[in-house]
Amino acid sequence: MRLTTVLCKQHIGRMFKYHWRIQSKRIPVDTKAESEIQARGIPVYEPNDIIEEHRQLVQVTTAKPLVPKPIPRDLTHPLYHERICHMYRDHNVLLKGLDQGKILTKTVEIKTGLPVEIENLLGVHCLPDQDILVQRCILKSHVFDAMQVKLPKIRDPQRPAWNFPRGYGITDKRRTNLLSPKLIQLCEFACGNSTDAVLGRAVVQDETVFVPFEKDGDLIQLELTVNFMLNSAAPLPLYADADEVQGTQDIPLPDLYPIKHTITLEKENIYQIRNVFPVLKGSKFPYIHTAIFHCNETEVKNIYETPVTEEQVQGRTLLKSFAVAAAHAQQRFGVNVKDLPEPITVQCVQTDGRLFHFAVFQLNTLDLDGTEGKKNIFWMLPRIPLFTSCMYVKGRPLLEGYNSEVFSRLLAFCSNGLPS
Amino acid sequence: MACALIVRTVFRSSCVGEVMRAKSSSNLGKACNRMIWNDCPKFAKREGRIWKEDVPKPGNGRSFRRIVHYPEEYTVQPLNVTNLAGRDPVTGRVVAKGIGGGIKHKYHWIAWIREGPKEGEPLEERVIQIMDDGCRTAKIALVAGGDELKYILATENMKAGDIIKTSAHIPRIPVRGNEGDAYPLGALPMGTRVNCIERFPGQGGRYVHAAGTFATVIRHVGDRVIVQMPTKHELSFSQECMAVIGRLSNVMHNKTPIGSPQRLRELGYRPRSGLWQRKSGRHGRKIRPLPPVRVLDKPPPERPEPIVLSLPEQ
Repeated sequence: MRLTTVLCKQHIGRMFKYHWRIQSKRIPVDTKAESEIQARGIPVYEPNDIIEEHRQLVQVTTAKPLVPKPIPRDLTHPLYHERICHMYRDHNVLLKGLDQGKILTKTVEIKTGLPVEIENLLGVHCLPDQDILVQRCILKSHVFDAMQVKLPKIRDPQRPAWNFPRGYGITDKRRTNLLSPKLIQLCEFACGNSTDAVLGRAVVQDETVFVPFEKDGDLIQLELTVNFMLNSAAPLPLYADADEVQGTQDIPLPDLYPIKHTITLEKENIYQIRNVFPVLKGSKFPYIHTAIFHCNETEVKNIYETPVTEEQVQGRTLLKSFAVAAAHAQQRFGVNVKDLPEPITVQCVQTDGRLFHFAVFQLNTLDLDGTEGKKNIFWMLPRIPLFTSCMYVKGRPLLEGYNSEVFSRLLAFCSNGLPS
Repeated sequence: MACALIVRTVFRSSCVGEVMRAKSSSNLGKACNRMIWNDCPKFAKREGRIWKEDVPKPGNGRSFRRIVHYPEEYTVQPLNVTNLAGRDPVTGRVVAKGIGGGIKHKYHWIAWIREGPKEGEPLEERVIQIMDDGCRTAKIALVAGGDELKYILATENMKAGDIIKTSAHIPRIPVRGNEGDAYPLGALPMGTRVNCIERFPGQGGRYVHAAGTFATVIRHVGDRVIVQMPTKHELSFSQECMAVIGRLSNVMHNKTPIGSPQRLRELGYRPRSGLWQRKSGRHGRKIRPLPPVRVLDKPPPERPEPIVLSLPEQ
């Protein structure tokens, strides 16, 4: 038997692999040489800075892109200002709600409930079959609309692992957009005795109001949307006479210590100061009458993702009514007006499709510094439900818990100022 | 025959290098073999270990549970999280077994540093609300002071509307503070229950975060303060380290049973079995004497990052 020669072969690659695995990781030892040399003033350079080839980038002119590049939001932005502006927009909500809103707008409540004159208007105008018509409006906006979209996921905090079946239907934004015009139209029918109800009023829908103002050294700008506004040819009467307005000097503002009144207002360096009121100056219907604001759950949220409280919604009504009144005042009396020649009244309703917040705001002064002096006045009711539930139950549309008070109050607001 | 070839490479990174040996039968070779110790036990372990060096181990505060995507500035908005399920984000290998799934929670960025004025009146802040946090056992408090909102760990009896104080002043007479207040350890009397203790002044509270836990200030020694941890170990801190007074919230956390395997899955733990072996001597409670007081006076030296060389493709 012939033996082959012994092959002294080894898989040498394994040795390389094991060695390289360990040797490829070198920990640099700090011999303190660099710090010693720098201490003696000798400059130390990185070798790569000297060895590396620095390419000169040649400026190439390219055609302008079809879609313009977005401008970076930093110091180089054309609207950048060093001074911070505190913004309040539609999706914001104040931390301390109504109390913080009162401090910001220097407002006090002189009595609970709405003014007596408006309470007396309840029930003066009435439609035959009013309740049936209003219920039809509710059904049309909450149930009988053709929109069918995925609704937001329902989560129960007590059962975090449970996935509810996904709902389809009408979004909250569309619900409120449908309901408000229908209710206003019913109000116009109800006041139909006088032609002024329709011809004497102008309607403004989905317009934004911009109001910048200064308070205690802070620049604040309100950028708020009015979803439905009624303007009239004659101004609303004042519900607090001169004595009561002087009396507001003695009513103290709420104290939020240690919280500052600008908390939860968005601080921005890139902004544009604008004074915008949606109705032009020469209009036939220059005076604000009633404003309806929408509070949609998907848009109005806290930054810390906790549900919005009653107080916070009421504060939003206050700020929005202040914004409308102040924008109107700045248009009428000048941009930098502080002490108004005559107060401005506005009636407000804030709704989320089911709950209605009725309020009246009288703007007496735009001098908001400090806590002394004349203050603005706010009357409001707690939020009233229009119904408890309106949805498909076992395939049939069902409206439960209808409350007729809401439409009567809305009618009282709309018919205010009309001859009966 | 050729002598035994010993290749012994020593670098700072590798304590012991590879050894190659070729057996020889000559007397000289046998003598050489006996002089060189080839059977070092560390050796064999090293060979096996080189493949595991890239894979880190859980421990010392690093749990491979989630990566939080922190923005540049502090914010109260809950942050997005990627869950790792026990995997190392670099290599992708499973490092910690038994973690995965569960209800996906957003991360609330806690402001660990409680900064207060070194002299004068303490800084006051108001507690807005107490919330549950899915990423920890203790509850968190949303706190507002001046213009800013922040989260802190809630103590046992904290409720919405409370005022909490922060001060960095160490007075001659110790301060008897209320729950939720933050003072330096040097300002607190012996026997105070504290939580969220800083390791070094200004670095943010690092010790004692779990629900219902507290540490106790044992004694003051010069400008150091000895504090007993929940594990009964004693640590010596600098007297300027801030700590929050009180016991952490959700006290009944470790007394409430999980209840069901499904609940454990919701918490992010995968099913487990065959856990402990009675006779191996590793499992079960150990009763040992307390180690000596550990003095935390200087931060650990910064280990320089290894330079990883790579072979170019041929």
